[in-house]
Order: sequence, then structure tokens, then C-alpha cells
Amino acid sequence: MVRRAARFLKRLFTVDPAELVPSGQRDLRLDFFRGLALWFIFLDHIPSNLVNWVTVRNYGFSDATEIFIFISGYSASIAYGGTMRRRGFWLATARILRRCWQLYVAHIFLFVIFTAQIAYVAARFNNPMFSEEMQIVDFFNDPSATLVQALLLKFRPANLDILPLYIVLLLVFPLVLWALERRPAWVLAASAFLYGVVLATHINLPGYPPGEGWFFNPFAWQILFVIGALLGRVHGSAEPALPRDRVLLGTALAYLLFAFLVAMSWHIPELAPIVPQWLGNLIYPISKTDLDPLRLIHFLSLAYVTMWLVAEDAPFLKWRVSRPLVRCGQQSLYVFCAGIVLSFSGHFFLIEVDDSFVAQLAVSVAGIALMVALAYLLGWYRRAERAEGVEHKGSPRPLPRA
Amino acid sequence: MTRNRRARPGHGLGLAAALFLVLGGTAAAEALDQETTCAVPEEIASTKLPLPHVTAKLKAREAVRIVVIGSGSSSGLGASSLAEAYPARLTRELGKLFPDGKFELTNLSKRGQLASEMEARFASEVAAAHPALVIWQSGTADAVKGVDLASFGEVLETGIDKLRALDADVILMNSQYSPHTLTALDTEPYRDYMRWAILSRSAILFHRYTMMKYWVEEGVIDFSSPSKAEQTRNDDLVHGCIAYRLALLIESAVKSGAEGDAKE
Repeated sequence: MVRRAARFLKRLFTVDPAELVPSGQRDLRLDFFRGLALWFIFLDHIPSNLVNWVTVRNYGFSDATEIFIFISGYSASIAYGGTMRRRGFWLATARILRRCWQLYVAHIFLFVIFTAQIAYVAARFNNPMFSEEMQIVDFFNDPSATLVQALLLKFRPANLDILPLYIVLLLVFPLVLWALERRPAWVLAASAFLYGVVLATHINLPGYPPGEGWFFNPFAWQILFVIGALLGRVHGSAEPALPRDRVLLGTALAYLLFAFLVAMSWHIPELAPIVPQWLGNLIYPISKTDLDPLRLIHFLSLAYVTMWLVAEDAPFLKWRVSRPLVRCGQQSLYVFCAGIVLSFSGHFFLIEVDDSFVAQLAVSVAGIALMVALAYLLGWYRRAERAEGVEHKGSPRPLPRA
Repeated sequence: MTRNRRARPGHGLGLAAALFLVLGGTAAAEALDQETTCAVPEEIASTKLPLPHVTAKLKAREAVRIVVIGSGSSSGLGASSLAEAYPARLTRELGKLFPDGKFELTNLSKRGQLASEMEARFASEVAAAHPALVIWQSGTADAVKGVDLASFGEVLETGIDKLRALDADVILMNSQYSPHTLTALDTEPYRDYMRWAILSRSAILFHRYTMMKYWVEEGVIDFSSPSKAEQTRNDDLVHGCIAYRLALLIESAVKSGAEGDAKE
């Protein structure tokens, strides 16, 4: 096993991506699982929803955030790595920064919707019992501070903290990618070192209110993005990227089982003895902010097992029932934003109109249906635009001027 | 979660209820209702952990001094009067469960206080009250301010140690279930750290969040009404139920302590 792992790492660090022949086919696994993560994020963001029992966070340490960040790193590496090799550093950088800008605008858009919702709740519900909770609204009473802090990404209300993480990770990605092309082993070492520093010192980016850091500490979460980018770099190589090792698989499965049992002990009081005090002292707290190693290992195990089970050409990826997920994964930014807005509305419906299980199910299904509809609409639009572009290119007539 | 898992001690109290109503004691009638109204899932209704200092005081027939230290909700926000807030009602509920016991309560709660600010008062104000039991409610103000989770967890653990060094038993209480602020204010990570702190210190947790969520889901309380009167009724009900459940939790701890003694 060790020899195989060493060979794999060597290959990972020495392969020249320029020599890889891209299959030309999109790896549907990326779209499928990113779509799944988006659905999970939507469901998890509706707090009073029994349907979110289906999501991955209830059965182990990691959750959909890890899937989203890992796949984002992986596909960023595929998307911009090629550009950097073929067209150079500056064009790749420009493309990455354009993407950052899109994410930033999307985040500010979500922030405005969030603020509107907060303002509505504050105006309508003033039960003194919750006046302490409502102090979260006080932040919005001083727009000069809140708006500026939000624009600086220092003020990130709950549930709006994934995009800012993604933005800062992408902001430094041109340099990471540049280094990955030359010294991948050094990049991984530097990334792991920074992660280690975070675990030891808890350094974090500054947030707002002053004195507090980011909920998702970018200095910690970068490791997942970098691992994704590193694997994405050798994407499409003829040899499987990861060694298919039974011992490694067994270890991963055993760890997943351990995490599953621990997670069950949170939900089922009868299972509490699974985690005796000494074990609790060992594993808790499991920090989400600093991407606790237990979470990181859990995600990597999950990803490894998934890669074992799901080949790139797995037939189910092309099944008709998988299409909605794949389509959502292909339009991830828009579908992500829609999911966040829909989760606000869905939650609001549940607490204001009807909170029965039927309503929870209906809200969940309706939300996902709308996300899928949006993904199809965007896909159709993009194809239509492309078709038109081809038409124009093919025609000798100059384009009509607007 | 199914209804048959609810802890619902005894029925058939209709006659007594009628009697109370006839006597016009609304408080008494409410007390009777509590068994059904304030029902919660069995697994969070009681504890197997002891409260040795409370048990010792009860045995010695000395006054059991209790300190409640928390933030807004513990200072009585929502209740129609301070007497209707859960800390004041707790002594009344305990009086019913321990007719021979004497309970003296000091409420040191301050609106908006962080766990760390409360912990800083343990050696001074809390120690001055010589408590046998401290009920420490926190997590909400910390979530509003976005206090670093790791340091929140550390404060809980050192806080529990400090209180125990004062010869006091400790019950932690987590955040309220506040449906309208759920998407804006996520108290879950703070509640997680609280759960881990009580595990590492073998302390008792009062599952206020789960209980309130349960009452809302069961339709016992409804926070969506815009009517002021309805709100006050609901808020008093919640404070009453919390006092009632706290008293029962303390009773179960005292009982399990007594069983532990019998085994030795």
C-alpha cells in the first residue's frame, strides 16, 4: 500500500498536465456531486425541515460545504489550468478574477435579499422574549458600518459565509495555480504547513464585529481547495488518478463507520455511551471554523470511497434521473444563489404558514424543482447563445451593428 | 419523534382540575396543566448525573441556594412580570417537589452578556451568593456577536471548573428556540460546543432549545401570532414550562444521587 501511495504521489507531482490528452468529455461526476452538494446546502439551510435528515452532515463529521469547496478547487484547476498552460499566466488570472467578481456580485445580491428579510422580520415580530436574538438586527441599524463591512466581506451573516470563502480562495488562486504548474509538491507542503499553523494558533481573517474571525477560516479551508486543485490538475490522465487499494479502501470505510456511529450518538440518546468521556475529550470539539482534521479526513475518506465506487463512465451518471443533478452542478453559481434565497423563503413559509411534515416535504421538493428549472433554463440559454455564435461565425456577412 | 415517547406522568386529574378552577386559582390550574402542556421527549426530561451539593443541603435540611446566571431570557424578558419569569418560578416549582426543602434564589442574569463576561463574575458575585447550584444559561449573546467558537467552548469548561471549586453543582442551559431569527442567527454551533463541554465535565445540560422546538412543533405554543396578549400568554407559558422542567430535572438528579448513595 505504501509503495502504491508513494508511486501515486510521485506521479501526482511529476506528471506534466500538458501531456495529458483531455478526453474532451466533461466528467459528469463533478457535476453530479456538485449538484448534490447544492441540494444538500439548500436543505440544510432550512433549519426546521425534517427532509434535511437525508443530507450527508447527519451521518458523519463533514458536510456539503466540504464537497462544494473540494469540487470547486478541482474544477478551477481544470478550467484555468488549461488556460494558463496554453494562453499564459495573465489571461488565466484575468479569467479567475472575472469569476471572483461574479461571485462577489452574487454574494452582495444575496446580502441585500437577506437584509430585506431581516428588516421584514424585525418590523413584524417584536416578541420581547426574543429581543436578545433580535439584536442580530441591530447590526443593520447602522448601515454605514454594516454595508461597508459587508462590502469588505468582513460582515457575513449566518448562511452567507460560503461564497466569501470561495471568493478569497479564488483571489489567490492565480498564484497557487502558477506554482502548481511548476512545483506541485511544494504547494501541497506549503498548504499543509499553513493548515498546521491554523490548528496550532487559530489565526483567522478578521471579521465584523471586530475581534471575531471568519466562520469558515480561509487559512484552514484552503487545504481542501488545494487538494482538489492538485487532483484536478492530473484529471483525465489515462492511469486512474488515485490508486485503487483495498487496504486504503478498508481504512476509509472503517473511518466512515466510526464517524457514522459518533454522529448517531448525537441524535439518538440511547447511543450516547458510544462516545465515552475519554473519547469525547479526544475528538471534541470538532471545529468547523478551522476544518478540524476529523472533518478533513472524513471528507477525504468519503471522496476516496466515492471514486472507487463511481467510475468516470458510470452508467447512472447518464440516466435520465441523474440529469437534474448534473444540470444543477453545471450551473453551480446561479443554482447556489437560488438555493440560498429559496431556503430563506422556504423557512419563512414553514414558520409562518404551515409547519407540518407535508409542508416541509412540499417546500423541499418545490425548492429543488425551482433550482432544477433554473439550471435547465440557463443551460438552454447558453446553448442557444452558442448556436447563434456558431451561426454568425459561419456566415460571411458581417454582424449587424446594434 | 412520536407522541408516545413523551414523558407524561399521570392523568385522571380532571376532578382536581375542576376544583382548582372553581377555586379560581388560575396559577394552580396552570400548574396542573403543566404535566401535559410541558411534556417533552423522555430522553431530555431527566438526568442520571447527580447534583451532590444540592442533595447534601436537602439531606441536612439546610437552605439550597441557587444562582441563575444568564442573559436576556433568564433576566425575565418576555414574561409578564419578574415573578412569572422562569427563575422566580423555579423556587415555587421546587417547593412543590420538595415540600420540606428550602430554596433561595439569586438571579444574576444580565441582558446581552457573553459567556466570558459571566464567567468573569463567578469568583466575585456568584461566589458571594454561596450557591449549592448554579444554572448557567448562555450561547445566544455569543452567537449574536459571533464569538470565536473555540474560545466559547474553553470558557464553558473553565467556568464549570470554577463553579465546582466554589462547591457548587452546575446545570448549563442552552439557547432558546427562536423560529423567526433562525436563518439570521445560527446558535447550533454554540449549542454543539455546550454539549461537548458538559460531556467533558460530566455536567448536566438543560435542553431548552430542543424543548421549545418540541412545544412549537406540538402546537403547544405559537410564536407567529402578532397579537400582544397572545404573545404574553405564550411567553409566560414558556417561562412556566421551563421552570417546571428544570425543577423535574433537578429532582431526577437528586434521585439518581440518592440511588448512587444506596448502591455504595
